[in-house]
Amino acid sequence: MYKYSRMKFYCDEKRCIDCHGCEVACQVGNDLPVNIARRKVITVNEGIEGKEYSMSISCMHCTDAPCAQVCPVQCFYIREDGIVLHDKDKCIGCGYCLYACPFGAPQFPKDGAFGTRGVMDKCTMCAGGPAPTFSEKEKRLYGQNRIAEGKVPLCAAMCSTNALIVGDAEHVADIIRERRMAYGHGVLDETPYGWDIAYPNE
Amino acid sequence: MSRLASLLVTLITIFPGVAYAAPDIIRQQLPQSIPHYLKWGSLFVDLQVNYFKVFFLVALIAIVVVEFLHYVVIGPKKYRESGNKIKVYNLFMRIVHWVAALSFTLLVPTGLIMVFGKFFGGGGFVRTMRVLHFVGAVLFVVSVIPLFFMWVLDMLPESGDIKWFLVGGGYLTKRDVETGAGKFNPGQKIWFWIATVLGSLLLITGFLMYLREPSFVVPFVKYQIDSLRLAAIIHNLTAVLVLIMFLIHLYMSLFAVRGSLRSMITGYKDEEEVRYMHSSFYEKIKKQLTK
Repeated sequence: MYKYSRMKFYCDEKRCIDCHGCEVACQVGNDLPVNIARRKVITVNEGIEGKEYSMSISCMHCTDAPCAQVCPVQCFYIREDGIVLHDKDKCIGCGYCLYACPFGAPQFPKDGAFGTRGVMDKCTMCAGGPAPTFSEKEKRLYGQNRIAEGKVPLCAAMCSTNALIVGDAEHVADIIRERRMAYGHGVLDETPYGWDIAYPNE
Repeated sequence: MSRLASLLVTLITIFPGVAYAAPDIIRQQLPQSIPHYLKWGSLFVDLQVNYFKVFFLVALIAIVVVEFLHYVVIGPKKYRESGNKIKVYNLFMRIVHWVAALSFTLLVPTGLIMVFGKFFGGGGFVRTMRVLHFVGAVLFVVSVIPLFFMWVLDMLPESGDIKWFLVGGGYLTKRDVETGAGKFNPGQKIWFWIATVLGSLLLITGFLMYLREPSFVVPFVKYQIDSLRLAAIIHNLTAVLVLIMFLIHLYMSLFAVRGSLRSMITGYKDEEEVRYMHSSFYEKIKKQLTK
């Protein structure tokens, strides 16, 4: 890896076939409850011919993660490789990260007393959490730690059309550039969502 | 009281029911709402990161310092005990006010602990405060409606209020001055309107955030997530104002006027205190007494 490498997701909307496989892989592989969707497939311009496309969306692991900025208890931390993680033991479930997130990534299970919402849950890029790596607690709270095993996150690993790719940002950008050249569009014709900066003021 | 208790139980059981019934609207609106993030989303982030905490901290420190200086420099009002008691609050008013007082003593510290959650380290403690904040909100719901209607007529502006402002409520001097205030002084009136009107605004925005996925949208915004962002912004800004007025009210009742707390316990104020602090009210009841 390079010195400044950052791990990023990218979903190629020209390849995504709306199969929801990544959603299912994430749900099942991480033993998530029913109402938690760390990753979801959305369809934009549904029904409009020529403009309709689908893409898979989850935590984009933003460089200047707004969720981490607004958290009143500072339960977020950003790993050296750019993966944004949070500590479920610290989280109070206030929901501010959801308000700050452009992508609706933070999820809240309704598991407290009287059905109140519990602590936040979100995509970890299959990198576990602050609990000891491969421990029972880490698996229960955050899901698998495939990054530590040297594996690709579940969603990207199972994507049958290779629409969803993950890895070092520059490497991912190279793949996208090559694909766009092959399509005949020339260079990137639009800035992908949340690629580097969640909002341009910063 | 049993009716009050049953209302409380109903509220506690209905709220989670609403929370369960709400469909997952935010997720459905996700494709449309993402491109509009800059409008309310970045505003919320900017305010939460740079301003809310500062507002709360400055308000808290400034008010406490001002009150401390007032106590040291001017000192509390002490009135001669005349022994003549004037009934000002009946039992119903006192009970309603004490429920509201209890709700505020729950709401204000728990809210501040959540705002400065980083200082307290988060986790179970702050999470418990969030639950208590909700309990306080339920107590406020049951007290704010009777509180509003039992005092709303007394809280309308009067001509004597101008004099009260001119003499600074009588708090800026050690001498006893007739303030010209009626049954409630303008300070109490401002606090009444802030506590009931802005308090209701806090209730509505807080309830929106409690539901998280409300089945209705706040005016001015198009998406559920934006209504939540707006609710969080309004909730924080309003809370700063209410915090300031609450601290002043607390200081006035506990420290600034000796024995003023007694009227909320027994319902009676001493004649001497009423003569100066609520002079136009005193004139009125004196006429009634002599009749």
